[in-house]
Amino acid sequence: MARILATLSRLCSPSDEQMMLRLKTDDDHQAFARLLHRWEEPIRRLCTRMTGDLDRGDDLKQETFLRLFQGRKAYQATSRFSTYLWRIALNLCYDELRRQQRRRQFLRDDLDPQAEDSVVLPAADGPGPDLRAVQSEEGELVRRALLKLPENYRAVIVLRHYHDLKLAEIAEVLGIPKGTVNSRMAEALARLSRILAPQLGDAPSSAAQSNHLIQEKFVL
Amino acid sequence: MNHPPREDWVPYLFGETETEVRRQLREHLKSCPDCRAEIDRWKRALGRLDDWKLPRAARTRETLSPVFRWAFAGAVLLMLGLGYMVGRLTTPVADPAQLRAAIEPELRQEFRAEFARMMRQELATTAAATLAASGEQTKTWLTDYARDIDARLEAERTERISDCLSLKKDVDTLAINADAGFRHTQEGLALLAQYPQSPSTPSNNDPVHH
Repeated sequence: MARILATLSRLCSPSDEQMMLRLKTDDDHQAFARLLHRWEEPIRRLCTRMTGDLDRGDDLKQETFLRLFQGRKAYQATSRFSTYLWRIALNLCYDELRRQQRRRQFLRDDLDPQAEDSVVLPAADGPGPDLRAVQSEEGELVRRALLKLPENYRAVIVLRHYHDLKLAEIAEVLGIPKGTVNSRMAEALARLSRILAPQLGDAPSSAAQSNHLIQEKFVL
Repeated sequence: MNHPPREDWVPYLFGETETEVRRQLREHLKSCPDCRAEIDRWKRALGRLDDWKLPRAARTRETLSPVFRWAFAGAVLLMLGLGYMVGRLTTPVADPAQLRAAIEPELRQEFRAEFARMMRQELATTAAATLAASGEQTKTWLTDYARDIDARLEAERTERISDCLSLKKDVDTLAINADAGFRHTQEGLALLAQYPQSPSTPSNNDPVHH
């Protein structure tokens, strides 16, 4: 019942684009509160999946809405509001992932390479301290598998699978041609199936071999 | 075998391919075990992604938008008004005669039943009271009657005694008179015996004729 009322309320409410224009022109704080309420959970989830960390996901969500508010005057209603918001959040995720990468690189350079294994790095590809982000062992395997993918491959998978964006929408969010989205997705799926091969019931060697063969065939 | 480019499988996998391309790719899958195995692996990898479930963040409940609140209130009022109007319009106009004909027998029957019930109750109460009252009255009457009978019996007894005494007196008087008569007769007879018998007057000697 509550869900039906919420849906009806949403249908009767102004669209995201209208509310963003109100925020832009009138600094309407109620419009901003409504946008925040609608979008905070999807954005939090996107950032958590991209970084693999619940707290970072939460921080990035806050940062995303701060950027949205700060840049309200520059908003152009040429594309959908959701596309605009996904793009802000993803760019913030990329920035954060690059910062992490730099920190890891700095620590590696600074420390004795022999002692590297004994140092706990704030690594995005490790289980890390945030086991709250997953609720099962299988979930942790998936989190780690996704973090092993390059961020641009991870982004297409996360947007398509967890947020149900069409391939064309993903292209719009990322600002790349649809064909590029398809090739990135194909590569992401090939890599993911290799990483998850033990969980999929495939022998890793045969899966890798199979991927390799197919890749060769496709190249040819 | 000529394999389709790898990126072509992506829209196919997510159901975003045009019908004709989809048909061609499906045909290829039927005849190509390598591609079939690869696509199957992709699907299974995508299926495993659902294992990573995020905990839900505590969220405040979304308040209904003012427009929706007013619309909801308006809709409720409208529905109530419509319901009232429909009820008024669809109710047939009551014809008094028809209505009376429809409900009179039932009312009569109910009234009879109720009246009979009341009467029975009243009767039962009255009967009980009457019985109680009549019991008292009867007792009084019987007492009076008994007293009356006693008085009468006493009077009769007294009268009888009086009669008996009177009778006894009469009998005594009679006895005395009889005794006097007898004695007078005895004296007469003794006197008569003193007279000498005369044959000329035999008939005077006959005691029967005397």
